[in-house]
Amino acid sequence: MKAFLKRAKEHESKINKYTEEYELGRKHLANMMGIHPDEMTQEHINEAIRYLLPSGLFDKGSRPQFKHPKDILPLNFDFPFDKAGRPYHYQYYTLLPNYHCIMSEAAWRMECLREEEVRIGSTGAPPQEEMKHLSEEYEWMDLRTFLNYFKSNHSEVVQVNEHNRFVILMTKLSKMRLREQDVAFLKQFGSPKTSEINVMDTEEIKKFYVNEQGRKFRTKNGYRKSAIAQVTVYAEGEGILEINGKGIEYFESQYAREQVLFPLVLTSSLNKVDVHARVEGGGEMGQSGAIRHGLSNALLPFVSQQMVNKLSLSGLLDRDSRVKERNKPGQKKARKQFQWYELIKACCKFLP
Amino acid sequence: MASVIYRIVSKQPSGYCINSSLLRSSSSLKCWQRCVTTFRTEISDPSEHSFDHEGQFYTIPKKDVQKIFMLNWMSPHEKNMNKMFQEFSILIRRPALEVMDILKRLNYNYPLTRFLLYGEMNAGKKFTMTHIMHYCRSQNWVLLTVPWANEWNCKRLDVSFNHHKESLFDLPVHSKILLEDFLLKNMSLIKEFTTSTTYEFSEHEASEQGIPLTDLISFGITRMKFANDVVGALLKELQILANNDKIKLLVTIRGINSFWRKTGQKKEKVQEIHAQQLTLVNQFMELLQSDTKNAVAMCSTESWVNDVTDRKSYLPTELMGKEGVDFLEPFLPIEVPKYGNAELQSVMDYYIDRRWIQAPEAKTLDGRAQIKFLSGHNPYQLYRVCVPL
Repeated sequence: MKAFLKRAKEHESKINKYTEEYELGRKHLANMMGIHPDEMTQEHINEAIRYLLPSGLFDKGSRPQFKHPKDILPLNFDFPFDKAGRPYHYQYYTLLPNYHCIMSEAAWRMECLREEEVRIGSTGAPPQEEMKHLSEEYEWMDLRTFLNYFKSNHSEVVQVNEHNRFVILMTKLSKMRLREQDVAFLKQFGSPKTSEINVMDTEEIKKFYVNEQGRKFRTKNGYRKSAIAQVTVYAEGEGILEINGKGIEYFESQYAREQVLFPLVLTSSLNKVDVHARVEGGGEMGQSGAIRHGLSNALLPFVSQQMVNKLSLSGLLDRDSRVKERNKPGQKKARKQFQWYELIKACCKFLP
Repeated sequence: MASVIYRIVSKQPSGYCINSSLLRSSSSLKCWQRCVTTFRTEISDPSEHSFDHEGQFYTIPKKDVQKIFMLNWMSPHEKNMNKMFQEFSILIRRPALEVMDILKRLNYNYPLTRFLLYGEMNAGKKFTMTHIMHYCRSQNWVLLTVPWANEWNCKRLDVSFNHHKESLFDLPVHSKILLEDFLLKNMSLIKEFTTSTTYEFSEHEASEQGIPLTDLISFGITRMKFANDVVGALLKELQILANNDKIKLLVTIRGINSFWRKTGQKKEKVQEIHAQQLTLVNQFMELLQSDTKNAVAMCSTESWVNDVTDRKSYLPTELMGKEGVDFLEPFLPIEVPKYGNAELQSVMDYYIDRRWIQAPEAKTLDGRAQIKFLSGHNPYQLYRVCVPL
């Protein structure tokens, strides 16, 4: 109890300190930018920070940010028990109240449904509410989202075997005849397996142009490492391939040729589509990767929606962001270290 | 989720299948394989090949392979294929048929006709030459082959001075190999002929008039010092014999664009030698420009001759240079193209027949289309693509 109070007080003082600093900094920023501090919004602050402290880091969460401490620091430190020390939640002493709350609710629902079934079976009366089996198999939250759910909302640390029990319970429940409220309860934690996740369904994807001769085509750029490729795909073709004026002999290695082959094989459009490409920069592998990227982006309007999902899930439409790692001082190359000598160790003994 | 299984669709267009009705009724792999036998012919005599047989394989009988091709002409790659497939069979292609057509109708009273084969790397120039050589052998021609002319340029074997002319250089070992090769191939045909004049090789040694040719050649083989001169003598004899209508001569030179390059050899490790300073080269150039009747020369320009960086060009003007083209004019250029679609299909049928392609997915239409894409219609690349299958 005492430790709890102490921690709460520390937390409060910390937050106050940070808010003071935040307000000061905000006023300074407003002064610099020439805006009244009351009229400054978070967007202004973000713009200013991006200008003053530019960074090229890939992870946007690790770039410099300037936010109110309540957005960054953990949540409010509310007491989960009242003045007398009696906890609010009825399962507080399990140490994982929310997790066990969910599990016991699911178990309670199962019991209710079983009683209903027994009552229907014995008396023959119709059910009180509409009850249906689930039409599809549901997929439950995987381990990562599960842990995250409890950590972020209720700051509880859940283990792996608890996740396993959760999955077993939910599958058991989902196989009975369910009421609407049960379905709503289950949908919090899972989604049907065969749902069509329409990943990309914008109009931009379906756009193509029409040639003078009446053929549809689409050009897209592809990038990889430092190679840029412009790929045009003509529909209703024969399977002609042209890269910088030459055929596929432009690439000498089998691996590079397979990179160009792969999107065509996935969409099964080897002999139905003409491809013309122009590549600059990079080396052999970079250029082939760039052509693959451009090809898969350019094939989208000529292909079914299911295939578009497949392509985006397989990662063919994303730019491969792998770049050569920089050399670091104190090391020979990016990872290679200098040789470690035994002599230095021996000599150090004789030094004062 | 549906699992993907490759199945042969029995509705394919069967332009190369005999019993298409059989195909339509069944959909099993074995039946299809039994049907498709039209990628081969039974005719092994090249003089009977015509344009009907284009795109089909024919096998060369084993004795011919042993006698003509095994020693010097076939590369280790081809010898491996021979061992693996238990036979040596060639695809009949258009350039070879064209040349044979011309040879049948040629008026042999005119002087030497020169063919020039050119094409991209690994497009099949050597195999057209084997086909034509087999045809000429069946017609009992005398074969003079230079399997790889760039060997004379390589930085390998001894070079000695020529006795008769100061500026030229000899290649004793290479000329010995040439003579041995010639003897083995044409033993039965040269038995009767004798030399017509005397040849002096040095002050003490000379060959007389009236010696059988085989003796002359064996003299050259045993005395390597004079081998190069013997080669010159032999070429002159062959010219005389051809002019008298006694034999018909076929000269094949592979890689003729090495005649106009620098060699890698150095005189006494200091001075560089150009190919024009070799006696062998000069002798062959004389032969090619002579006015012999009953003779045909078949040359090929290869981009293998150049360095690794310089191998993109394949046109004869780029490879031979102005000198070469001026020298060889007038010639009959013949292009050896890459595989067409029908030829690709028959080659893949052959590989399946010989169990070279074993993956079941590669035997389907989809798999064949992928192989065709990856190989880029190049014969050697097709072979390499099928290696891991």
